[in-house]
Amino acid sequence: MSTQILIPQLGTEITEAEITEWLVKDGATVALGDPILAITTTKMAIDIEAPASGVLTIKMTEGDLAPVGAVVGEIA
Amino acid sequence: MTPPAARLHRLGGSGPDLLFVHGFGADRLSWAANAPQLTDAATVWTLDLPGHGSAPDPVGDGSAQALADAVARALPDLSGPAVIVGHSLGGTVALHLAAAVPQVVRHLVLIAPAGLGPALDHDFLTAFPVLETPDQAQALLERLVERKRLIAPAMVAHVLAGLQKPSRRAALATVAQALMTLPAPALPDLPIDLIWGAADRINPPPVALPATALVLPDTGHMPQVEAASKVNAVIRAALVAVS
Repeated sequence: MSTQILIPQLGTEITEAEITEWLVKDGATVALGDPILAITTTKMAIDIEAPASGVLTIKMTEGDLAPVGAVVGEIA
Repeated sequence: MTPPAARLHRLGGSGPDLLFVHGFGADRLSWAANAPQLTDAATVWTLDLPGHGSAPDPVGDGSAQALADAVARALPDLSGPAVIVGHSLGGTVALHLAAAVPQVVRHLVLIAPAGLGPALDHDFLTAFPVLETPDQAQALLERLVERKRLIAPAMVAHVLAGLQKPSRRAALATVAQALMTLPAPALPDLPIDLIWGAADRINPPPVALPATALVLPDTGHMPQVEAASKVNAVIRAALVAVS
């Protein structure tokens, strides 16, 4: 079973975020809670933590703009 | 003189009221990694303190009491129970607020609360209201965190844009002055969760913290951003406790 990595809800005033930097490589093994992705909104930067342990598959690349709720990667 | 006014934002959700009070120089958006994640467990409110974000600039004497009074005036009639989360200056405001509406506040989550540490970084407080350039702002704001990348150009621009409001710099200087002479606040008879970054350089943790305090390694003055999921877990537990 895989777990999707989503752009989280960031409040009513922020609707999208830029994929700033993947902090781990595609195919890397990550542990629940590891910071794996840096995103930037129009106001601030946030680190996204791994929502599960497993192997990371990256689905959106650095520089992409992703709306809230978008699937940016998967952990299986 | 215009009394200080806070601006309240209801993010939605249902359940106990959960109110987030930001720190000096910040605004309601500083809770982007926390408040929106908790609408499944609470009725979530964020706010802009007087002289911050979208709130008007008058701050009165700039004291935590004056800011808490403004929040209390902005609050609708909450039926309770309520949990207040406060960061830094907001932690001290939360303590005053708990005293102002004691009938509804059941639990406090205080993140690096001002007045409870041994020494606030006066240099930071003095420099923030007079920031002019992106380079200056970047350097100063980087003192807030251990992971420098969290101070993105977007955040620097947001901070500098806020400082362009006509009376904003004077308002923040007044709040900063009050913070520099802040007496240690009294703790109410309420459950309080204390969260502190071990590497906080703005408001370092006291040497003697209660054993129940959550001290986060490799974390600076912004645990709600630097260790968001750990902070959110503490808030969730507080919401369960009051429900």
